[in-house]
Amino acid sequence: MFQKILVAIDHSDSSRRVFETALTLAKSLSAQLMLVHVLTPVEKGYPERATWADISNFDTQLQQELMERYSQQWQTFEQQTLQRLQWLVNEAEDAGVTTDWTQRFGTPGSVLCQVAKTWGADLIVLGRRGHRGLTEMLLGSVSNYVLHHAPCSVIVVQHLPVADASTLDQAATVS
Amino acid sequence: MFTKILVALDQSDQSQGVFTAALELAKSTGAQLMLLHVLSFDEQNQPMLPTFCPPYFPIYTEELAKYYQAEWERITTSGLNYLNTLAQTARAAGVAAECQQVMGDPSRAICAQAREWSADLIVIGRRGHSGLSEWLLGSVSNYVLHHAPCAVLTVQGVTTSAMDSSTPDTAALKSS
Repeated sequence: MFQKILVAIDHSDSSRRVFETALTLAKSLSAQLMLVHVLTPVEKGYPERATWADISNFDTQLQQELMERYSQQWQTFEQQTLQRLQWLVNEAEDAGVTTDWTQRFGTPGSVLCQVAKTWGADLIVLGRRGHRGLTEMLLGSVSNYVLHHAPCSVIVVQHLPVADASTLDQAATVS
Repeated sequence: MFTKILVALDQSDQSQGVFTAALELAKSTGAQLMLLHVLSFDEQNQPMLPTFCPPYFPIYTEELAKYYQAEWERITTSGLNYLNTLAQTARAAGVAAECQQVMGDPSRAICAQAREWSADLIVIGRRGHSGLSEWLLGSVSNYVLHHAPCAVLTVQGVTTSAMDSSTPDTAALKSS
């Protein structure tokens, strides 16, 4: 029934739970896993681009430095997330589950659905950030998008109530 | 991980797929099942209260009331029979299964039952409404996703191919 399980990883607090759920399922169903991490600007820790438009427009030297610094930060960030993904892959492989991985750039919802389609996943496991109301409308709900556009079945793992407060704080600072 | 799985069934074409998925999961994880049927006014083939409305006053006779009641009883029994048949299939496969039939709004009833029984996974189908019909009829899976106390497995229905083709358009729209 479920032989190819796609797991959405975002390195947040609830992501660990999502991974464990998927791993347990994969073990008991003897299915294979695909870990997907989507690089997206709304993610925590994503490097912000320094744009001092008024200065940098006139100072090409400074502009170049800023660009270089930004691309360096970006590379570090990409490397870090890639390494974290690799750890998870190793953990799953150690548990005896065939695991594949990919890291993409884009809008999480549509990227997840695209990967699910091209890889031929028959189950998507993802977490819920727990946004609702206004923050859900503004930040968007990945789980909601995936639920409506996925080519296959979807398991949405609820975030722990403990993580609720921190998520809400985060949402508050974003808005 | 998943030890108590609540399965929402509504006697529609999709229900079989939902049940199969839940049974498969329960078998491999050793979980127990609760098969839930919600009697609601939304459901297809639900009896309508037959009243004739001539211009001055509605006619509502005892026979009509009795007919209506009999119809409800028929629906209730057929729902219970359906659940019992599936429960037997599950038990034959070595999975503990119980049946529950409640009345109410499906979305709320499913979440309430999950909380009461302390389920750790809800398995539900998707009617595949989107756009206007989803907005009007409401999406049970969407409500459950947002209000469930536990993880939710949404089993895609027969409309998958139709949604498949719409996905790239939406993706293109998003990125532009």
